[in-house]
Amino acid sequence: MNIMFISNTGVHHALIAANIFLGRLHNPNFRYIKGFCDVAHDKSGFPIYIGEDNQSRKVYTLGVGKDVLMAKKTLEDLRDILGFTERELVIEPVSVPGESLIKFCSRWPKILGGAHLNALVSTYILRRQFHVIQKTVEDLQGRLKEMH
Amino acid sequence: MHIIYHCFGGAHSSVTAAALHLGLLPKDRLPTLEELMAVPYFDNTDNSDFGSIRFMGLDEYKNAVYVLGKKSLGDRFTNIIHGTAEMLGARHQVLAVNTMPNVNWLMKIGGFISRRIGMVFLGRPLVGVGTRKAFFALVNLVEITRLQTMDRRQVDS
Repeated sequence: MNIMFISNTGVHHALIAANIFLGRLHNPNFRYIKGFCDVAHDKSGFPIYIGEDNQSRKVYTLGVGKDVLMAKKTLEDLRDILGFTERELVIEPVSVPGESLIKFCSRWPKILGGAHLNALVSTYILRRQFHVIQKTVEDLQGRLKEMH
Repeated sequence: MHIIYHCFGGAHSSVTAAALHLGLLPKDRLPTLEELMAVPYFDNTDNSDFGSIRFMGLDEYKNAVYVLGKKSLGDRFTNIIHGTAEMLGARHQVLAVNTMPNVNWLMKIGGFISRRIGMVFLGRPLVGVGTRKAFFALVNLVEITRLQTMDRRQVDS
């Protein structure tokens, strides 16, 4: 099974959700999360592989821009067209208050301190919204249990 | 194989390309506005259609052809679709084609007036003129796409 966390970027709250899901993150300390705020990693549009849990479920993140629910619809349509079901691919949108500001800061030019601003603002917002992301992951885990 | 033509609204350039692919429009001459309007989904979508992959038909090689409106996601959307298919081990089954590089200002303005503002009587003729201007570029794109699908068929067999 594949699980894909989608949000407006694939390297902020979706990445945190993926790490919570994999059991790598229990408190809002994002310093050691590989790829956190690395917007270059997110540019291509390809899903980013994060890891695999103890049930061999592969976890990915994907940045889809501001219209996350529209992208969810497209990806679910694609999954259905290709003949797969939710048992093979689960698409989970992750949304937090302040995500537009995160997106804005992640676009700030590097030469004007963009990388620093991005890390500072994202960390500040996501620390305060950590419980929202945790809740999203818990809800998903509950749904996955029901599915099996 | 599944071929997905995508543009901003999924109502004009992607629909025209899909219609060309399926032989619903002639490739050797400009279509009339009536011929364009007779194409399913042409200038006939609403907000709920954004993000939906809509089936247009099967081509002569049994490839399924779809259209998709992806708003302002740009060419990243091709990678999003290809990357997700890759994840499922079905990369060779999907070909996503961005028709936005062939969209001109008349199509953009006409599409906005017709679909967004709802002034169909004003927007539709503009879209028609714009689509006719972009028509042979779309023919070229479709021919390249058809060659790509034929290449893949040969590789697969």
